[in-house]
Amino acid sequence: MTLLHEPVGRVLSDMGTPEVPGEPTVEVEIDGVAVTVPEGTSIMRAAAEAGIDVPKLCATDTLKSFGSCRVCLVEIEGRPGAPASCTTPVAPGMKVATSTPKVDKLRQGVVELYLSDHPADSCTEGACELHAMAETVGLADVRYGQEGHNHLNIEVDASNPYFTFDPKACIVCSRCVRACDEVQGTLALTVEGRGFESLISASGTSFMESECVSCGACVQACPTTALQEKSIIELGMPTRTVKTTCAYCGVGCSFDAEMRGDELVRMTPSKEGGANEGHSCVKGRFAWGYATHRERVTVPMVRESITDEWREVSWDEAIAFTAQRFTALQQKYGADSIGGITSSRCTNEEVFVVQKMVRAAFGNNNVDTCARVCHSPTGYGLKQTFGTSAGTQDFKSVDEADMILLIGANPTDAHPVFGSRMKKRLREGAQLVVVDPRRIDLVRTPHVEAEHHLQLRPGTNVAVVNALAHVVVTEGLVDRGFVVARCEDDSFASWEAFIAQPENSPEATESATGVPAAELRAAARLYATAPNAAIYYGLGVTEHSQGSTMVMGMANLAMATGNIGRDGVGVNPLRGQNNVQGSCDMGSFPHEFSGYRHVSDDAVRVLFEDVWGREMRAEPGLRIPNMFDAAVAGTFRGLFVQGEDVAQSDPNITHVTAALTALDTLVVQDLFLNETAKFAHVFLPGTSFLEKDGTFTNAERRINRVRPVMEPKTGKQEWQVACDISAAMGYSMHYDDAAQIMDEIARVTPTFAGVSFAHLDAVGSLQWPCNDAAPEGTPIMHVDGFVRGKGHFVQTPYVPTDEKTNRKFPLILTTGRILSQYNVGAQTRRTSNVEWHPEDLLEMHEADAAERGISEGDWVALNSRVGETHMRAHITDRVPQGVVYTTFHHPESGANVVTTEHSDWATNCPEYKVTAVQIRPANAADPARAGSGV
Amino acid sequence: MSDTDLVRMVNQIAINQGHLPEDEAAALVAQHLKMFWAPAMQRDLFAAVDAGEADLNEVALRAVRQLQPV
Repeated sequence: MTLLHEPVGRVLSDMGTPEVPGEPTVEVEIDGVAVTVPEGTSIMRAAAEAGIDVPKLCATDTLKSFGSCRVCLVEIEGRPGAPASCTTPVAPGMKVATSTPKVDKLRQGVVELYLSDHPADSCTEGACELHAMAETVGLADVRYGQEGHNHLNIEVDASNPYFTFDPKACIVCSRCVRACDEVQGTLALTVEGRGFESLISASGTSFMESECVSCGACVQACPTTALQEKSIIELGMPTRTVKTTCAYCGVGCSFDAEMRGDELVRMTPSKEGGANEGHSCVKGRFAWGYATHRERVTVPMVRESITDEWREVSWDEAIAFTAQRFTALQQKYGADSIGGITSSRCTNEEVFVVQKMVRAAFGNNNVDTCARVCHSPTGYGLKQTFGTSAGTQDFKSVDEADMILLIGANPTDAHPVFGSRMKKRLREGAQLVVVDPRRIDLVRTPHVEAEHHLQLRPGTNVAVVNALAHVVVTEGLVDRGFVVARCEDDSFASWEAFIAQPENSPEATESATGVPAAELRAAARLYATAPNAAIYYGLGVTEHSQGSTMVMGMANLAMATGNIGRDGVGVNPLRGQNNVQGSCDMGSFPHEFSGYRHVSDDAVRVLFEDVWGREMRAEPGLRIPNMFDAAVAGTFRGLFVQGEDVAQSDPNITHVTAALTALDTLVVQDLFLNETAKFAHVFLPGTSFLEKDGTFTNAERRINRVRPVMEPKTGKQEWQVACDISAAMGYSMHYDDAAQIMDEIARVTPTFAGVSFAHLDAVGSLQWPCNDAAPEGTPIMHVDGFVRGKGHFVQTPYVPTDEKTNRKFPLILTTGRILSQYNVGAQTRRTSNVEWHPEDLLEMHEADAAERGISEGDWVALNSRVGETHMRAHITDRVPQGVVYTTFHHPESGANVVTTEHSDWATNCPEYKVTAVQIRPANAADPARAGSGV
Repeated sequence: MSDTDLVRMVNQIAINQGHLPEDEAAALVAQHLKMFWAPAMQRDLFAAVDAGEADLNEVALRAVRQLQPV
């Protein structure tokens, strides 16, 4: 176990003002110390560079300088007065004194005035910079009493479940307002009133009622305890920290887990985190209480039949029970009768060991991962065109984008920290085109407005991307230099001829897509002519019957316009879960070993056979939907499910539950008795991210360390459980620790050859490929050439889905996520995040609602060809007439009861985004599903 | 595994190669099945075809014929 402990402190390494890019050319002298910094750097930052801390309150290096607190005053030789060092830039030859009798006295006076309206008992001990500042400036007493005009009787706003706002501790420095504006981009806070009446306000209402998204940036920025986590108020200040990685979405934010003894009291985003650079969202920052939730199961359980009661057993008995049943099934029904599903919520090391257990101990390739139902088309499409199954950029790249084409993704809800970064770039002037059936927030939000919202009909993505490419080709917008130098001549020529055909024109596709031709042409020109144009996309691309085709269509578009291989461009999948990229990298697909190498490759197979000492199969195994089909058919009898809830997350739940019921042995490894566990014979308690030791790989291929902050509550790491099952089935796997697993991954996976825990601990994070050619990793891919050599264009004909609307099912249902909840909600439903989203709602257009006699909040029955569920209606103009939308965070609503078996032609990724449905008023929740879940 | 599912899937793969000449499309479909379908799925599909129970489109049928052991 490797821990990276650091001392606690909220202002560690705070340089006061942001870094100014550029070469250090301006030499100044501060307190007699010479320092050279880039032009435009503040005196405060230059002083910090020289190792001198200028006292400050309103300044912090994550926000633009503001100059309101007047604590950071300095004297400059030859200049009158005492300017604020945070807002005064350096000049050549400047000589600065940060501590003189004059400025020391001024500072004391300013701090004393602040303290006159800031009682000593208003702050948690050790948490207030103002009180610390009083000591720093040598202020012993406050001469003014607190009987005068003050703010001491203003009520505390405790409406937010995670933090309070106490105005009497507030010094109105505006750090919170600026953090909300500059970092988060929500602009929910303001300063109301003038002079002494000035107060921080959540736009005139409580925090909970306001536009605040609870990202925590304001709390992080607050120098006093006016904004403070309730956990700190209740439990006290932390005594140690451990750097680790969030276990929610694919952004993979770095956090300092702040501990008091063995208790987690706060998660604060790490400024050193390459993915988040100090920012966070409501899930990672606050919604970690599930890890110690009372419903967590920490003891193994078994039962002979799913109608029996669970029986708590020892680890030894649970492992022997599992191994005996799996072995018996293989003896009776053959080696291929069992398999496993790995989880994108688990570490690379845990996933690697499970897929190794399947390939080496089970002796087959029946291993798949939950990426099957989200981003498997990304893997297929980008490998075909570019040569590797991953996004091309780092997140920072968006800072250089001049134009962003956002397709089927809703980053402000599903990838909020990256969404904030994107909004920042948009506020700086980058242009935006949104391709989405639903009007997501980014279409129009404070200081951000899309140039075009291509509000396509669900299921017509490929027609739209073809039309965009048609405009590029037929209007002479191809980057010929890039194509000639970097791409295949033959495949480009055939693609160019294909895409130029009239049926791909915006005018020809308009009737199918619903996107006005003129608007589509304008969007295409914007993309093709921007100096740097970047594509970002999500599950609105992949979860379609042509998900893989669409990924290849976007890759074609990027190559044709030369938008690959440098900052500000690229094709960027926004991954859903924290380790989707990693679980795919680790060889979880039934046709590939780690590093995306096909099982039929003799040389690769020999490598694994040598290291693992077992013969490897050369043919692909079953994918998740294939496993379910085979289970129903009776040929697939046993399944190991690592950290997934397929009975809630996978499509056509009736079919899934029929498959799970048909299994002779279902083993579920999870934190909670989830929906899938209802069909299980063995429950193996899993570890939360706070107990795991390993790595996650985020959407930008960044490998981050996940460090345990407490011992496993189950007594075992999850990888140890897989090793034990494997050994009990006759194949020994032994590792002393997770670091040894990563060492094996590096040994057998060329793109990970340079990765080790020691290397990660030394540099923070690494983006693969990381090997001899790129020892410190690869932020941007395909810089000098594609991984496959020349870029490959693929013809992408539009084939309409078989899921058709008709008179019986006239509406199209599409699904998505909301900010406060995550995936099937197993984690977030066990936190206070339910206060924002207590149930899934069905969004529908007022015309569709009126036609059916449905009003806001009414219960409705949602029918598709495969099932029916009930939920409440929300009437909105976010969705166009004919389209309805819901989330899938609550088992009671059962959104996947109605989704169908249709899937991507290449990967079997389910077509969640297109389901033909009908809606009618209902009297109440579906009695069959009420009471499910938490 | 259900023959209906297998037939639906292979037909869908073939339809997505419909822009190509039939020979090329059939070869691509065959290659896809070989790369991504478990042997049991291929066997079940072949059996359904041989039993005359698989309503395959022309490209899918040619792909299956290419893959079937002689």
